[in-house]
Formats: sequence, structure tokens, C-alpha cells
Amino acid sequence: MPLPVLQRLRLPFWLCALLLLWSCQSLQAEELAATDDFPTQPIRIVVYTSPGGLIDLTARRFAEIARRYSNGVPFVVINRPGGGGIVAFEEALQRPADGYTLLAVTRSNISKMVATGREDLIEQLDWHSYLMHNPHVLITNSTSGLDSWQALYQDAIQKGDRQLWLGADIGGVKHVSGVKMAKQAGIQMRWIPYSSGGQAIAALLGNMGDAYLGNPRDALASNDLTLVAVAASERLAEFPDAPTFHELGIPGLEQELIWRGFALRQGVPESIRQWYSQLIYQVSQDPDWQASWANEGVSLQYKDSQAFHQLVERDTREFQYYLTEIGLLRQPGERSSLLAGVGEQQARQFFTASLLLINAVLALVLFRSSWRAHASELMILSGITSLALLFYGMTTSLPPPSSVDVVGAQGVPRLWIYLLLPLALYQVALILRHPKKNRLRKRPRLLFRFLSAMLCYVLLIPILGYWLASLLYLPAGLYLLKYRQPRAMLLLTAGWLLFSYWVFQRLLYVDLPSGLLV
Amino acid sequence: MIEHLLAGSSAVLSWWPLAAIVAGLMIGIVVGAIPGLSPSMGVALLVPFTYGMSPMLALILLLAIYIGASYGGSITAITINAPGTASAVVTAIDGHAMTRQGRPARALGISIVTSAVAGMLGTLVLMLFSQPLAAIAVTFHPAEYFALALFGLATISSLAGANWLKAFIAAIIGLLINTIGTDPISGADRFTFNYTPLSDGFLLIPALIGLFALSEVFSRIEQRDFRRKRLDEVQDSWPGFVTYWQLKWVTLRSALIGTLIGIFPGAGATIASFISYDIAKKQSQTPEQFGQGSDEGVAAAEAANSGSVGGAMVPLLTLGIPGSATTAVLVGAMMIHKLNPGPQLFLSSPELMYGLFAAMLLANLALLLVGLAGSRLWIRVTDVPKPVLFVLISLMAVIGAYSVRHSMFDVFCCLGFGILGWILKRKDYPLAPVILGMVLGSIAETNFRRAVMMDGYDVFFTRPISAVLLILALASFIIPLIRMHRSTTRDPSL
Repeated sequence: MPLPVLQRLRLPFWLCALLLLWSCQSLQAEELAATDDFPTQPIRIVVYTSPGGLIDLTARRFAEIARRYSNGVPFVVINRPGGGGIVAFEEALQRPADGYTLLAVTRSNISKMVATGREDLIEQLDWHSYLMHNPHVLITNSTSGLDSWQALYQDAIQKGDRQLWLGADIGGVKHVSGVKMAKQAGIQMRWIPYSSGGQAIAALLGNMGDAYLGNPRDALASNDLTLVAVAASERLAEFPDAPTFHELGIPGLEQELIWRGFALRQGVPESIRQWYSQLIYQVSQDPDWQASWANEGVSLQYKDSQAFHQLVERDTREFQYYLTEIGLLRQPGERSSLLAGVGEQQARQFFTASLLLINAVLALVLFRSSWRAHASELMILSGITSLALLFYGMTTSLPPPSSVDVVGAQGVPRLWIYLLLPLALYQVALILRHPKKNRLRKRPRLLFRFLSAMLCYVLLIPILGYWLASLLYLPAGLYLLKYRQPRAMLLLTAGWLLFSYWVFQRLLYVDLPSGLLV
Repeated sequence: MIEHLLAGSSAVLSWWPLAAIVAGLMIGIVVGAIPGLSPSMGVALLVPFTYGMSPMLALILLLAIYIGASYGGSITAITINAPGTASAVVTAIDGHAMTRQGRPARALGISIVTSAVAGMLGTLVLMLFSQPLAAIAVTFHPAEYFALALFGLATISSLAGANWLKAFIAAIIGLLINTIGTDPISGADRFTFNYTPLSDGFLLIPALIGLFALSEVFSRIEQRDFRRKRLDEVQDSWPGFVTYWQLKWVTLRSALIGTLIGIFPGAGATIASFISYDIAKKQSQTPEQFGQGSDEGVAAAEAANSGSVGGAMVPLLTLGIPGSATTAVLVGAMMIHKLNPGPQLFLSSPELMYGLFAAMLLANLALLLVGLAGSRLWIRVTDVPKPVLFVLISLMAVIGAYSVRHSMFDVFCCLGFGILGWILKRKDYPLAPVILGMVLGSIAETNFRRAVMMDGYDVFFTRPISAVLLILALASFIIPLIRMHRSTTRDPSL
């Protein structure tokens, strides 16, 4: 045997190792356990944002109350932020259609999927229950003198296109609502996007803008804030002084709202869908649930799957129309090419290929010349510069500066590139003018072996699954680094697997990959 | 106010709140110390456990986690050069240098004491001045946010010293990485090659784990640095009162800087720790020790980081506006407990608010005890055989990067950043500026464009705060350039 250490090991060691292998296998198979009665294990509510925010709050309040009607089976809220919902949707679609994954959805998801050309995700979901909505409202800061719609309107007429409306998103539900409101009212506004509603409200409190478009409850941040118009058919009970757009003589803005509900992936058995319909209806009638939404300008309205589907279809068409109008909808076909952006196809390929060629030739020359000791440092700089040049080429296809966004999407990346180029050249000059006596280092063989082991591990995770891959990698990595204590290795491996199972899989609901072999 | 505070304190000083504080701190410290778990994840994780508690008890538990997690990031930064949070990157600079010199206890001691003291100072500022501070926070124009971000970037020059040029190149690498993804203003995809996982750009946490933890492992393996380091028994004692007393001004100043920057929604602990490190170095009698294991360096970074917790609570409690990821979770938690954070909360339930202040003070005091007890345990990490430590760090990096959004893409990014970090470090490029560039890039860009959209280019110079910050930033950018030019013309060996 090539590994003499292994010869000294006795039966108990091998039994333990086998036991570990078996438990890894069973961990991976665990998720496939069949279920007859539903539900028998915790149900996940996947939220597409980070914790905090209204949809997360909705899911958490729901989780708390739904447990009363689910025979004690808990609901667990897990956050999968990213891509405005794409990450969460894709995750829900990858999980089995066993009904244990509920997706918390809002109208923002529809606008995002339309804006990014991912309508396929909308079609793959079962829009199960509509829970509630709240209308969009316009809020002003009364210390600026704009304490009514009329004042805001007059101000807009005076300022032309320089009236600033602050909001939380770009190309989202609120942005589209703002465009519609301005259009219906016959005024112009400049939309200033913020990364969160809170930051936009803070800016309004500091009089950075003229109005804020958002949810009614945002007006609670300060007594200076006034709700000047509500995009609903009736006034809100919580804000009886705020008029609707209809009352102000502006039609067509009765349905500007954000809705929230739940979706499942398609293919969930009908009995489970029925179970959810009943449960969600019960929660919607629960007095504590209703009380928890009092004073927030929210209307609780349960709608079943059929009505919800129709609404989603209507919203999809509406966003297609308005996002094209704002100029945010990507053209079809843009997704097909890998390097959309360097300009004409040939020019782009030529540019990329020449950059690669220059770097390759440079590397060949440098590593064989008397500059060998500095070759790697010069190559780092050359690589960074080439990448910056490639990015610069790609900026040509970004939206150009406009009268509203004066800097444009290309401005800041170009600025960084302009700063980088002289600094990189200066650094090259310093190396060439004052070469330090670098000693040539030996090839780091051990590191390369370790890196290869780690790369294999990462590549094997999707194939063998997390548990088996880790079971192989941990002892192999230790062995590579000349650690020769088999019992400690076995203990460490078992300890790590247990730790990652309990802390990550059970406590944090991180679904570690189960691999293709199961 | 005094009677509210007394009433609040008496509510906190009983068994359950105290138990919640200790439990919260312990959970928080562990969450902060594990690379890949952020304070906001830690707080969100515990929200469901608070359903059955009173609002006061629930908030005390969650705040204790926040406070613990803000400190916890520095433990792994000091012991294994793997900052658990972006704001602990600065702590790693001097803290890990001290560990490599065999003095981890000194670094851990300074970090825990300055954290706790600064946490208390931040809470005091919150208690006494929250209303006027909130009024200031909202008047910060995007132009001023931009100037603050540039000022933060300019700290690189002092961070790097003679390596000035390489540090700026590293920062621009970070800034360029940050431009990848959906453009926050126009919504267009930038440099994503139409690859969906890139539409949110490179996430900070996998990058942080790769650049620091993995690159450190790779460098040590390259140098075959597997020796078990005997702790220097003579030098490595727990610092005494004299040491802390010598650091009083650094701690006080950094805590105030942290608190002040913390109040601005969206600015946060990372800028605060870089800026206060920069100022501490400029004010120091021994600036040459910064980066080589300076007591003041660790104190400045940690105090600013902990002070920012109190600052971040200002807009949350007075306006209901969350300024950071963690405070956003706290708003949600408060609403679940039927509390509407905002101006009316001070009027409707003052005893709750002052109870929370008392709890924050107490939690920082308890952090001192829990942290000092824990530090004696953490220090054992440096005793673990190196091969075991390196393999465990690589496993932690993989699972940490994966758990951010359940994607193998992030794991590959983490490994890629590890290799990038190793290559850069090998050629003496500092890594902290890359992270600073990644954190500040989007703050600088969005606010620059917002400011121009609102008021044109002039606004940067017509608003006094913005003008002053920009001039300061420009000065810290230019001065080292002149100095370096002089030194290179005089001394050709540089």
C-alpha cells in the first residue's frame, strides 16, 4: 500500500469511516423522503428581499399566525435576495413540487421579470393567493410649503421638468406609477431613484426633493410629512384628510397599488393546493392578522388563484407597455450574444482577441527575458489594464447621458478607468526605471496541489453533493498539507459534517447541494 | 428624561432581560465571527424566537445580537486575518499583524475593551442627542454623501504609506468590480456579459472571504508556514489598565466619528472605521507603527465600528428609517411586535425607549465580560495545528460563500478572489483598498449621479460640507503623490 499510515489502522477506524460515508449518503437522500399527509415538516416561505421591508414583514407575520391553523407545523421565512426576485423564483422552481416551498410575491416581481425579459418565470408559477394591497401615495414635506396636491401641481408647472420625485426603485412598480401619475396630471417630473424607501423618505425630510412616491405608512416617519394624493378609488380610513386622484379630477389612477400574495411552483398536487387555500383564507380572517395591519393603509382582500392569475396577466401586459415607454425594456435578442456591448460584432471580437494576443505575447517575451523577475508583476498590470480597456469598449453600448441622467451609466466606470490607466503606467515606469532585485521564487508546488484539491472539491460539490465532496476533501486536504494523524482526521471530518449539518442545514436553512448521484 | 431612564433601567435589571443580553451577545459574537454570516442574518434568524416574548425583551435580545455581531467580526480578523464583516477589515490590518508577532492577546484585549467603551459612548450620544442628530442626518445632500465617500477613499493614502501607488491601483480594481451589475440609476446591465448571476454584481461577502481568509491560507501554504507559533509569553500579556488609559483619546475620537457617520442612512460602519483609522494615524505620535501592529490602529478601527451601532439607531428610533441592513431587520422586528418606530414611539412609550437605551448600555458592559472570557478561548485558535486550520478555513469559505444566496457561482467567485488576493499580496498590493473600493463604489456613484440629476455639477462646490470634504480628499490624494515623487527622486531604491 502506498500510504503506510493507513496500514496501522484497525477495524474500528474503518467502521467509523464507513459509518460516516453512509450518513453522508443518507443526508443527501433525506430530502426525497416521501410524504403522504401534508404537512409533516416545516414549510418554507421564500422571500425575495433581505430581511426587513414590507414583504419580509408580511411573510413573518403570516408565519406567526399560520401556525395556529397548520396543526403546529411551523412556517420558516428564508430570504433569498437577488435579481429583484429572479434568485428566489429560480430557487422555488428548482425545489420539488411537494408544496413545502411557498413564495412570497409582490407586484414588483412582475415588473422586474418583464424588465429583464424573464416572463418565463411568471408563467412557471402557480399564483396561488392574493392577500392584500396598498395604494401608492404621493407624500410631500410640508415645511417646503408644498402641503397639498394643488401646491405640488403649481410648483411642477413652474419648474418644468425640474420637479423631483423621490422613490425606491428604477423601472419598478413605483417608477411606473410615477410616470402614469405625471402623465395623467399633465405635468413633468424627474424621477430620482434611491436604494430603499427609507433613504428616499430621509431625503424628502431634508427637502432634497419635492415629493415622494411610496406606501401610505411611509408618511408616519415624521409629523412634517403630508399625504397629498392617494391612487385608490376611495380615501384611506387611516388618512381621512388625503384626497384621491379621482377627487382631484385626475382619472385613471384608481388601481396604482402594490399587491402581496403567495405563489407555489406549478405541479403541486391539488389536495395540497386546497390545503393552502383553506389555510390562507383562515389566516386572512384571523382577528390578530387583521389587527396587525390596522393603521398602515393596507387593504386586506383575499383573492383565489383564478382571480390572481388574471391580475398577473393584466399587470404583465401593463408593464410591457409602460416599461417600453420609459425606455427600460431590453430588446429581444440582446440576451443571445455573450459580449453584447463592444459595438459591432466583428469589432468587438477583434478587440477582445487582440487584447488576449498582446497579453500572451507579452507574457512569452517577458518570462524569457532578463525581466523574468518582474514578469509576473508586469503581467498583473497588463492584465488589469486590458480588462479596463475591455470594459471601456463595453461602455459604448450603455445608455448614453441624457438631459435627466446627465452623467449616464457610462460616466463613472469611465472615470475609474481614466484614473487607473495613468496610475498603472506610472507603476510600470517605476518598475522599469528602478528595478528592485527580486529573487526568483521557487514554484509553489505544495500550494498548486492544494489549490487543485480545492478546485476539485468545488467542482465536485454539484456532482457528488456537499456531504460526499466534503468527506473526500477534508482528509485529502489535511493529507496534502502533511498532516498524518488518521484518528484526528476522522474526528475532524465527522465534527465538520455535523457542524455544517446542524448550523447551516438545520438552523440556517441553507440547502447544501445534494448532487446528481442521489 | 432622567426619570424615564430610571424607569427603563429598573425594567431591564431583572433576570430575563439580563439573560437575553448575555444570550444575544454570545449568539452575536459567534455570528459575527463566522465569515459569511452577517449581523443582519443573525438578527433575522432570531426574530421568530421572539414571537412569544414581550416587545421589550425581544428588542433587547435582538439589539444584543447586533452589538455582539458588530464586535465578533474582529475576532477572526485578528486571529486568522479573516474579517467576518467588511468593517472589521481595518481591524485586521494591525490586529493580525500583532498576532503574527505572537501578541494576539494584546490585540484581542484592546479590541474588546475599545469596542465596549465606544459602544457605551455611542449609546450615550444616541440617548442625549438623537433628535437633533436625526435632523442633521436628513439634511445630508447626495453631494455630501459623495464627498464623504471620496474622503473615505482618500484614506487609502495613509493606509498604505510608501505603497501608495499600489494601494490606489488596488482601490480602483475594487471600484471597477463594483460597477459590474445592474446600474442603480438607469437600470441597464453593465459588464454582465448577459450572465444572470452577475446582474447583482460580485457580492461583498464572498469577495471578503476570498480576498482575506483564502489568500492568507494560500500565502501561508506557499511559504510552508506550518510551525506552531509559540505565543510570546513575555510580550503577550493581556493589556492592563495603563494601556487602555493611553488609548483614551483615540477611543473617544474614533467612537464619536463612528457614531456620527453611523447616523447617515446608507453610509455605515465600514467608512467610519477607515476614516477614524486614517485620522488616528495622522494624529499619532508613532504613525510608523500603523500597519505593523499598532495599539492605536486596532483601537481606532474597533471603536469606530462599535460606535456606529449607536449612530445607526438614531434614524431608526427617531424617524423609523433604517440606515443599514441590520437596522432594516430591526424595523421589521419592531413592527411584528406592533411597535411603529418613529417620532410617536418616544411619546407613546418612553419607558420602552429608555429601557432600550439602558439595555444597550448594559449590553456593552456585558460585552466586556463575555468578550474577555471568550477571548481566552479564541486565542486557542492560534494554537490549532496549521494544516487543520487551513483546511477548516477553506471549508468555512466554501460554505460561507455558498450560504449568502445559495449559489455555487458565489463559491467560484470566492475562490477566484482568493487567488486574486494571493497574487496581489505576493506583489505587495494591499487588499483592504479593494474592499474599500467595493463598498464605497456604489455609494460614490449613485450619490454623484443623484446630486447631478437634482442640482447640476455646481452643487458639489456650493454646499460647504461637500466642498470641505472634497478639498480634504483631494489633499490626501495629492500630498502623498508629491512626497513619493520627492522620495523617489532622492532615493532610487524605492
